[in-house]
This record gives sequence, structure tokens and C-alpha cells, in this order.
Amino acid sequence: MNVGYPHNTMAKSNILHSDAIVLRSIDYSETSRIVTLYTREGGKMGVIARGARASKSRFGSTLEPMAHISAIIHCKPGRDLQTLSEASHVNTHDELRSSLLRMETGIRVIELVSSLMQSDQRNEQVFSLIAATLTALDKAPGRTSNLWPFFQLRLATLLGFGPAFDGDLVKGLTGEAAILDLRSGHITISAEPDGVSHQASRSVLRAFAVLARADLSDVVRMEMDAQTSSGVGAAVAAYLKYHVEESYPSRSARVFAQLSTPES
Amino acid sequence: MQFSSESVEALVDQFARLPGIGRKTARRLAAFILKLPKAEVAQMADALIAVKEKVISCTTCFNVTDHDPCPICASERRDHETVCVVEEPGDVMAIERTQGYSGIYHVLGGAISPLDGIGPEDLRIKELIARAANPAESDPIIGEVILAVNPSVEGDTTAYYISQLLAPFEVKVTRLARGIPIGSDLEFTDEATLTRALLARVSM
Ligand SMILES: [Zn+2]
Repeated sequence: MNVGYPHNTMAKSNILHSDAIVLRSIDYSETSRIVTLYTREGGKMGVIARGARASKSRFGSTLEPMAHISAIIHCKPGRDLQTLSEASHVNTHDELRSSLLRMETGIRVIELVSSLMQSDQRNEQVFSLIAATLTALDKAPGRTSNLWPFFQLRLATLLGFGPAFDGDLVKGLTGEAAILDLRSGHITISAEPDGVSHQASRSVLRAFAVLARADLSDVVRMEMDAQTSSGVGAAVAAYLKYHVEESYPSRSARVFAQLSTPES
Repeated sequence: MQFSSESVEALVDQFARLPGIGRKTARRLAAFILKLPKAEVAQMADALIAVKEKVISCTTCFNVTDHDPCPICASERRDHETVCVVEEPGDVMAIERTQGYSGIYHVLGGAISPLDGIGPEDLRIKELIARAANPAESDPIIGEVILAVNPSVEGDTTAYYISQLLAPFEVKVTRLARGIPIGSDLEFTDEATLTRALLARVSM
């Protein structure tokens, strides 16, 4: 395999060994694929995987969206596309692909990352969050519906716009409804002056607060009725949309909405 | 190298649009056409126009054909109780080449791809369900639907969705086995493929 590189070539290439999550994989020419990765060591990167479309390709099934792989990438500075020379599975996420509901969460996670992360900005905590969320989605026995709001709030925090509510204040909330201020993330009884209010029930905003701060292992065990769960979904989406505006992706959500209608 | 004729350069541009053809190959092809007798070039041009003028899609299976219904749907020698569901017309050709399948087909026109915004309404899924739910009087009742979609995230999504829709009907729904390509080596097979192969193992 072509891992070494002669020293005296004109454009010097560095070899990056990194764990990565596959965000997108698009066929390119008869034989290759262009893959967008979120790498632990280098952030979001576009790579070309030559020969990946052949049935006996050395890349096998490693380049499917949501796969957690170990990659060897040849990087030339200034290029948009780097070259992927090897990839092997770190976690195959088999169960994740066993139901539409799990796939929906997984796909929305990678779609959000693709949309919010800039190229080549390394952020190891973001990488760990994606990997941990996908693993939980793959392994958790039943409750996976909390993972999507959890992921969005944690990503917001890592990117510097996490909700800044006072935890004790949320615990002490009385009355049926309260207000989430979309600008600051404060959770209060009455609207803040020059704030942007999102009104919700007390149980929704308490769940919102837990998802924003609790450990992943507690999040997957957290029980929520359908009404609270959909209220939390709406509050989190409103919060994210307020902060990232047009960058909040809607494509896959629209398709999954079409997929869930027939049973009812 | 550049041809000194605008017409030849225009032809090179057209060839270069074809999949797998780079500029260099496009120039070789153009040079070849330049040497051919005019009658042969006319034959070639007619064939190109004919695919656009004569080829339609079969109103039953949505495969490409010159006649509706297509020869496969019209054939009495095919098993009309088994329908193989594929993404593209090219997949029908791939399965036909095996000479190991005698049923009929249904071409979806792609796969559900949430990241590309392609949903069930963009594909021939409704038509498939209609074939299974209310077959025309002259048609036999469908006994098995084989989902021959690609083993990708899009293929998985499509397969789960279709099997959900077919669940209320008395039809067996199967999916092509996923596993190790013939002629390859276990040692170099990735873990996900190997796991699938273990799950899909067969008795001997
Ligand atoms: Zn037909």
C-alpha cells in the first residue's frame, strides 16, 4: 500500500492517521468515491477514495455514512480534496442501521455536523460527542429518542452557544408553564426584556435542562412521555435555529416525515 | 494537442461528458470518428437519436423499453408471482445477466436518500404497493417481493420503508443476502461485511 512518500517531491504530502466519522459519500467517476469525513485530528475534510466503487474494494463497507473508521489520509496543503489510502472499521454500528428510527437520528446527527462545522477546524470534543452519540444510538436498548435533542444541545455548547440557564432556578420552577429565552438560553418564569421567548410547559423545560447538562448514560435512561418529548424537540429546534439560522438543516427531516406517515 | 477545427473540438466536448471518458480519450474518439465513412457515422448518430425517441418506460415495471409492456412483463415464460425490486434499469440488466432469475421486475428509479432530500414520493413506490395490493384482473397475485436494493444506507432505508408498507398484505418480502464477494479473502473483508455474512449464513 502506498503509505510512504518520497521526500523530494514538489508538493510535500503529510500522512494523517485519524479516527473519523463518515458524513457523506458520493460516487465519483466509475471507480471512486468522494467522502466527507469528520476526523478527530483534522476536523471536517473531503477525501477521494480511489477504487472504492469496485465490489472487491479494499475500503469494503467502511465509507457508508455514520461509520466510525480509522483512516490514513495523504494531505497536501491547499488542496480541497485529500487522498484516503486506507480505512478500517472502529465501530460498525450494525444495530444503528436496523431500524428507521435509529437511522433517522444518526442521519440527522451527521447532517447537522456537515452543516455547522467548517472545513479543517479540529475539535476533538466535537468528534468525541459524535462518536459517543452514534455508539449510544447503536447500543441503547430502547430509548434513543432523547439522543437527538441531547446531541444538538451539546454541540451548541461545544460551539460556544449552549443555553446558559441556572440549574437551581429550573429545579425551583413553579406553575405550569415557563419561558426559554432563545437568545441567552435562560429559563425563567417571565419573559426577559429584549429577549426572544419560547414558551413551554415546566416539564418540557426541565427535560430541556437535563438534556443540556446530564451524562449520556443518564440521558438514554431518562423516561419521557410522548407529549414532553415532542415539546423538547420543538424547544431544542427553536433554540438551534435561532442561533444558526439558515444553517439548520431541514432536508432529511422532511424525508423522514414522509416515511413515518403510513403506519398511522 | 488541440484540433484546428471548431466542429471537432465540439465533438471532443461532447465525448468528454460521457462517464469514464477524459479529454484525452475524447480526442482519440473524435479522431476515430473523423476517419470513419459518413454512412457509418450516420448509423451511429441514428442510434443515439433512437434511444431518445423510441425508448419509453414500461407502465408496469418502469424498466426502459421500446414497447409497452416491456418484453419481460409481456413474457408468458416468466414467473409473474415474483417481483424483484431494483433501484435503476441498469440493475435489471445486472440480474438478467445472471440468467438465474425468472420472475419480473419493478424499477424504483433510485433509492430514498434523506441527505439528498429524495423521499418515497420521488420514486415508484406507490406503484409497487399498488401492484401488490390490487393486481389487475389478468395478473396473478404477487407471492414474493425481492428487495434487490443496494446494501447502502439509502438502500437500507428504502428496504425498511417498503417492507413496512407491504406488511399488511399476504406477500413474502425478502432482501438479497449481503456478504463476502466471491473470489475475495476473508482476512481482508471489513468487519461490517463479515458480520452481515455471518448473519446471512446458510446450512450445508
Ligand atoms: Zn415491464
